[in-house]
Amino acid sequence: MNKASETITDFTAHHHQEQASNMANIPEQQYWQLIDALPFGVLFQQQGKILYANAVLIRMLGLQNSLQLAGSSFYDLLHQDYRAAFIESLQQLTRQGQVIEIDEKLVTADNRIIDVEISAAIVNINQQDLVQLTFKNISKRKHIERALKQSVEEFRQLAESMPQFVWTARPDGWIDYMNSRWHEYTGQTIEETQGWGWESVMHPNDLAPCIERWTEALKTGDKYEMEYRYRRAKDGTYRWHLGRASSIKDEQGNVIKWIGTSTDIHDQKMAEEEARRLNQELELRVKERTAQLELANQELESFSYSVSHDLRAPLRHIVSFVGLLAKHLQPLLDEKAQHYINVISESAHNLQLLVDNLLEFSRMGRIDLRKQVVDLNELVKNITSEMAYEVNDRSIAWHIGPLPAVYADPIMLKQVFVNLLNNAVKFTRNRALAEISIGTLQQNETTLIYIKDNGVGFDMKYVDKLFGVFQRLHSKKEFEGTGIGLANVHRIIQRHGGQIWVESKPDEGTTFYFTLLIAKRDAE
Amino acid sequence: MRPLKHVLLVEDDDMDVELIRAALNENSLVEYVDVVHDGAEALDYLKCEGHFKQRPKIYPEIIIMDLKMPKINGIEVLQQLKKDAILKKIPVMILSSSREPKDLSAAQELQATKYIVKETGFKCLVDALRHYTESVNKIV
Repeated sequence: MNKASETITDFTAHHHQEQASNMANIPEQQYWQLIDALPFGVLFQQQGKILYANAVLIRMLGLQNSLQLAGSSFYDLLHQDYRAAFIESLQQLTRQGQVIEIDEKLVTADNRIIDVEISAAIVNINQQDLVQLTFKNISKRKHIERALKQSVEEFRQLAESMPQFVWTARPDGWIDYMNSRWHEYTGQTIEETQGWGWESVMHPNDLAPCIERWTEALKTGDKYEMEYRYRRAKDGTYRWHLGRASSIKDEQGNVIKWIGTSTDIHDQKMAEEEARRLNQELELRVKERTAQLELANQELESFSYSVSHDLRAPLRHIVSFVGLLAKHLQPLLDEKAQHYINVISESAHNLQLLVDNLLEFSRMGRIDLRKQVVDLNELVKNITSEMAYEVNDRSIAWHIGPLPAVYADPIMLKQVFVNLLNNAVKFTRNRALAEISIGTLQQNETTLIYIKDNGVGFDMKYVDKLFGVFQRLHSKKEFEGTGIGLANVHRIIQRHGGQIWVESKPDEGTTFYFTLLIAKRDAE
Repeated sequence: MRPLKHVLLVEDDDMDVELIRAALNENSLVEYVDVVHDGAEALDYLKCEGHFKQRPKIYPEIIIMDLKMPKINGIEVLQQLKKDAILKKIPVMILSSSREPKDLSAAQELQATKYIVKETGFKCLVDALRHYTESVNKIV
């Protein structure tokens, strides 16, 4: 006898052999082999008494052999909590004669509880009605089911605790869950919400783009983010929400679930909008004001230009005709008359100089900068040699250090140096030996240039007036000038983005400092 | 040095006309100066039209012209002259009180021979004319 048949000999051998011998078409040995080889447990019982159990069931119950089942009732194997219900089901089976399937719990020999799916059927063997039970161990499946249930429970709990709307949807977009925030906000019932209920509370203007976006996402499975308005049941207002959704996919990449949130961003969005509006308004106002200022500035410039321009012609005429008059009357003029003519001529000359300088000053503010690399060594050398003729009766010690090349408008820059060097020469007039130094103090991206003299200097309390138009710190009798030169210097340096300042002490001298951009190869 | 025979002076300021005449006479640079007072008159003169219909078609050797003038300004006159096959050959010296770079470059673009800023005594003009005469004399 084989092992399978051995398992039953001890308590049903006799009966079993009787049964088997009556199964006409199946040889006995093969029949029991077949039952034992089934991948699930099989048991025959009658009125609770176990008649037969196959090897799989014996193992499932944690038994060594079938002897341990001898004489016991099948019902004892059932977990006591489920026993009564099972017996009830079996009785029903007996009455109706149908196959039934029940999930049950069995208690093993070592007191473990295992989940089984039992199919029960009445079989007639040897003219006797027996209950045939088959057992499938579904502990693993049950475990997974419990874990899944727990995870769904956790998700729900998490979702319910969030201040946002949280929802899930089927792969086709059908909403199957919304947390209670949603129901509180929209006033919708769960039934109203299920599926496409959200459409009825979305702002009509946002609906079409949202459906389009959602449809697109359903097609691609890609996550998306968008803003839209939902109507609040409490007051009927539409509030802005930021919606986000992403899909959960299986191993094949098919969407199995959609999860999404909607966050109320209404207040934030309104504040942003308000800020943007205010900014725009401010920008507009600044623009308007700038345009007004520019216009005023332009008018002022063009006024001063045309005034200076129109003043030049009559002045030139006065100077010219006084010259012609003097020449014409030369033999007739006495000393006094000659003096008068000289005064007229000189005054007209001064006025001419003033107008020319003013015109130049106005021009410096208007014309475009034409920046290029300017070698300051060369520039200073040219200016000092041009001045040499005018100062040939003076003792001047020039100390000119090595100077950098700068990036500037050469014509304007020349004006700066001409003005400052002329000043240095002019205000050292009373020195037996004038000392004029030109050098540079630091070199980073900008250079600091200084022009220092040992001239008459000035009291620093007047320094604010120094760079103003028509501002003079000395009388014309002492030192001639129009009071425009330094204003022009100041304007040119400023237009180059530089700074200019001055240090001075009466009777000790003056030093002008200004910054310029160092010339770089890539500056051009 | 042979003086220039015939110069057209286009100038609306009578005092400037007088001073320019004086400067030219003093230096004996020109034998004969014709004066017109604005751009329109200058074009009529050169094309022998309008008031100058009866003028024999003799062209000046050189034109001295102001820029800022009533009716048609100096730049516009230069533009007209450039379109005329004969007139465009007459050298034009611009004599203006403007130092504006835009005026200078406009005159340069329209191929004015010289750009002179008006100053007391018109020394620059005298020098320019002298230089021009010398160079012409050298060729002739």
